[in-house]
Amino acid sequence: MLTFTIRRLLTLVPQLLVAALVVFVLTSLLPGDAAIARAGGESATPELIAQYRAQLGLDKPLVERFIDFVVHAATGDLGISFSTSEPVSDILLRKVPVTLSLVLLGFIFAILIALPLATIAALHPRGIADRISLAVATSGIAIPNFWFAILLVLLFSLTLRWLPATSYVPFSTDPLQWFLHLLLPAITLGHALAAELTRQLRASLGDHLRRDYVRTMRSAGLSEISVVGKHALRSALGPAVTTLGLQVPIAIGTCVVIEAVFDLPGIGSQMVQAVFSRDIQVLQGVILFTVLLVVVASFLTDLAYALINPKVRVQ
Amino acid sequence: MTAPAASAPSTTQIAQVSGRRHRGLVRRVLDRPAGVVSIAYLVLLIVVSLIGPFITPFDPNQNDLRGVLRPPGLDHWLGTDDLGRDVLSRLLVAGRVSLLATAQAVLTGLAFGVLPGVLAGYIGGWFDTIVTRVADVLLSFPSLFLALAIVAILGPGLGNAMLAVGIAYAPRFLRIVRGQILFVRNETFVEAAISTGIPRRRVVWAHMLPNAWPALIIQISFMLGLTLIIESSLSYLGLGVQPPNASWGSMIGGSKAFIEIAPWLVLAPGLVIFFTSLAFNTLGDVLRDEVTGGRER
Amino acid sequence: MMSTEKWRVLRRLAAAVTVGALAVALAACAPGGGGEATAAPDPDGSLTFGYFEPATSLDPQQGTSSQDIPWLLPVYASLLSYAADGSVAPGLAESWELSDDSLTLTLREGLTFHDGTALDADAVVANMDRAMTLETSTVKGDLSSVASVEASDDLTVVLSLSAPDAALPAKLADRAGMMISPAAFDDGTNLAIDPIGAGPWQLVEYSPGDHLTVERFDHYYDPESVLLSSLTIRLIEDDDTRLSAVRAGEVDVAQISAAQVQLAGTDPSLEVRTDPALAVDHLGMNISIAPFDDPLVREAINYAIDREALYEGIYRGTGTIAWQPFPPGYFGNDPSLENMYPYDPDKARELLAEAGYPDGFSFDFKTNNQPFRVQATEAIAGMLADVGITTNIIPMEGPALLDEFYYQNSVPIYFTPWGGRADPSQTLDNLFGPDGLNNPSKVTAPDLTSALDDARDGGDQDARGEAIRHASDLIMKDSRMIPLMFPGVTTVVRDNVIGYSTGLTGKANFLNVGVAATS
Repeated sequence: MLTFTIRRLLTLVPQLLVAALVVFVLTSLLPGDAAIARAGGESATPELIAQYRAQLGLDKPLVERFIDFVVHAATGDLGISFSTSEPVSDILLRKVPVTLSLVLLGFIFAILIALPLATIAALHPRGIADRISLAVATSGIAIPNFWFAILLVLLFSLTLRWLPATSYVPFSTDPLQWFLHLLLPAITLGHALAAELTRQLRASLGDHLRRDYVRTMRSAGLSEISVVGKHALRSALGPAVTTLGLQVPIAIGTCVVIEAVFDLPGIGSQMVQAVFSRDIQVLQGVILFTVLLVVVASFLTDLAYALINPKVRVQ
Repeated sequence: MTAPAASAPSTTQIAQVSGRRHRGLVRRVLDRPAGVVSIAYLVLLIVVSLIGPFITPFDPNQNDLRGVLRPPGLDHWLGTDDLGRDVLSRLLVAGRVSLLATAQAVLTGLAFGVLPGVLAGYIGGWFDTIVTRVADVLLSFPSLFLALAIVAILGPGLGNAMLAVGIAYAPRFLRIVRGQILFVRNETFVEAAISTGIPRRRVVWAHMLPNAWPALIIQISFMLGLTLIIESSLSYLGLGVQPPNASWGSMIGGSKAFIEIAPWLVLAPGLVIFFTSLAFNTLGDVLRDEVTGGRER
Repeated sequence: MMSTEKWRVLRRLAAAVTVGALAVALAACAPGGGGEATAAPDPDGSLTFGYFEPATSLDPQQGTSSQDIPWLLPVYASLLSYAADGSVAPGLAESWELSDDSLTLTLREGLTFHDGTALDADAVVANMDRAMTLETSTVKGDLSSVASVEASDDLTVVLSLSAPDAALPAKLADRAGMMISPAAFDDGTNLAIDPIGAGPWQLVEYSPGDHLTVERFDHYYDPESVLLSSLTIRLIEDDDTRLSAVRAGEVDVAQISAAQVQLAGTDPSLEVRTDPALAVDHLGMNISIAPFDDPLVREAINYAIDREALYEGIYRGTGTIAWQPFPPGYFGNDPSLENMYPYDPDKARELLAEAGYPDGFSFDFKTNNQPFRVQATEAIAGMLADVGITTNIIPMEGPALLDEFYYQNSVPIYFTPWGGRADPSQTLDNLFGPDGLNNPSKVTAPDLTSALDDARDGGDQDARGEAIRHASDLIMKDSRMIPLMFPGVTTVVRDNVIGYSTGLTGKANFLNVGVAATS
């Protein structure tokens, strides 16, 4: 297991280097001039703009800037935001917890939605629950997330006034408010992620329920709860873990839209902001960090899968 | 934005059945209620989009600043927006924009995905390794992030955005085509065709690629639904279609601030996106059922 | 307290104020007047203000954004201040005397900073020295006409000028005149997050990018005007969120956008008010780019704009229609320019034909991609299309747009929300002067240049007003400007707040503002 872990860890390095190169090349092609934004937009003075141009090193050659970028990034220095003069690492430190909170709660909701639906659906194929599970699975894909989110806001925040519509409260400030502010966004994300999970769980659980060992246990008189809950469901969860791992990039991508609707200060809305303000430093930092997140998630998924299924380790 | 890629049928399954028969596929899809409803809706939508500009009750881009945010009524069936434009007229014209953009993205994905997929499957070896690795890296990026990055470089605009989405999705087509080609590469009918002196290039296109079509069509159907959602998301964020033109997504984006006083501005385009995406996805489901022989059990 | 002039300015606002809140609005308009009749301010009252932009720094000499001002105002007092009509009034200095080569300030007696340091002439000199010499100073430019600063006695400071500068007092009423405790900048206190001034409130807590809380400073020079015991400024960037926070009672006062006026008006516990300000929304132009180099074409555009429709549909009945650079009630406003180019599409088409464009023409109408600006641009594009000028709207990021406008000279015209400046000459020189950054063509006319010079150098307020009016006449005669609207500042105020209004400079002001004692 240890060698597998180390070997898998080593593959992360070139992956991240390639990602860094891609990110740098992409963002270096950006037009627009950050110096003007920095100097105050419409109120800028020519002297201030020139001063910032030099200060931001926008005149240095590309190769030099890339080497600087990698060396600094490796030490956690992602440069300074062109538009707010804040270190990008500080911005990430502030915004990543928001997105991670959302993703975490989103996955919990996805499991809460998918697990019961898929179980009942698998137990009663073609029954009502099966149809509902199919409807959830399909609507999770077909409903535009931002629209679903707006409808939730309209109903639960503006009409019923049960839940806050926007903004974020850190967990450390007030755990209850943290949860309440993230509830609607997390339901939106969970609904989207549940689609794939429901399909997948339903299929694999149905598959296991038809296997011989289930039949044997049932005929041996084990209770249905024990058969389904303890055995079949447990075996079906393996592939589900992989599905969840594969959905990490999808979840982060979905956060872009959800954070925009709920005005959450996460890395998704930061990304959109950076695109609009052409803030190259922030764009680089956010994308690089996201890739790191995705790569680590896939590493953890592989690790979890290897724990469940020892055959993988030898491959 | 959940990707149905993982739920697409396994290559083996499809190759087995597709060899047998897929001539009656259209007919079997039409026999299913879900299939016929989806197709009827999509055909209607396409017809309306084609004739849309000729049947709009008002000029979709004509402002009326003295009649902004009018509720639905006899004059304006779906009300007016924040510039006093007729929502129904804009909805009709936006449909064409959304559908064309969606088609453009999927075609881009096919253009970038099919040829490398065929070559990777057929040539194999180091070429295959490199192509699949690149595809894997692309797949590991959140697709909306990739689209955003490309939009940041090329500038906002629907064409750019859809190019970006197409490139982001090319790996999915690539994988399917590569898998199918790999599967039939050593089949006897391929070897027989080659031995009769038919040029290899023709063998690939005329004999091997057709085996990939059923799986590709299923994937295209899902991708159309997914791309429509991505297109509307980007336009919602203001990075897709540019004013005064509209797509369904940008109509929602411009109206969020008015949701309490003019909810129709958000409801109408959202419902249309939902139904359309639902139709594409249902069609994909039905197609898959029919190709693989019944719902996955 | 309120001048009749201000009332004249406010007359357009009746429409913006909901009937239910009218009584409150009247009270709010007259601090120290009718306000006391309805409710007395709570001496222990606290108020929360929602603001849309974070401060770049709480060191007034190093912040880079004009949006820092509301964060600075509670903590820092300036040497001079603004009266309600935008003219310069006493501040820490009780009087001042401007000549061509010097500005003499006489300080009030017995002033101190929050940390107890005496605010005397030496402290002012130390502040001025720091402002003019600090490498990262952002107020250097404001003080470029100052050659040296000396204390002639404990209360008298003399600024020697290298060139005449009529705008200097206005600048000293702004950021450049905010006094920092010299003890703080000598001992290396991080003023960016730990501000120490002589303002009406002193720091309790500051969480950058989130909120600032301050409490009453007992030794402020005008204690009667400090009605609030404590004040919190909360950063809420999103318009909808900010309004929701006020509706939920988490925030007492916040600025909102015109698009939200209708929604805010539905809440009976809120007053929606639009206070006039120096900001002017207009079509910024590069008049060296054809066909905008032709005064006939510009005049046609002036006639093609239906300002009443913009007022109704885009500004939702807030603000005041603009016919010139400065708003009604301001000393540089020329009443004779009102309604100079009434909406007349036929006249516009005639002028276009006369200019040689009987079938109109077309151009790329670039705009900043903020929703409001895109909406306004779309509305204007519709009006231009009606007279035959077709456009291709291109929303862009702000910096890229400004780069193209200022430096590439490739943007002929765009919707410009000019924020206004403390001194009218700053606005005129920037927009129309031969070196103005916002006049990328640098094209001007000899008579206009000399009018701008007169406005900049010319004597007392009356003489300057005359010169400014003359410049405005010349500008409008050639249609060098296509003014649209004085948007003012639209604010929602909860009904327990007494006396809140925004001054002409457009910045939130918390003096003479109180909250009603809860019954």
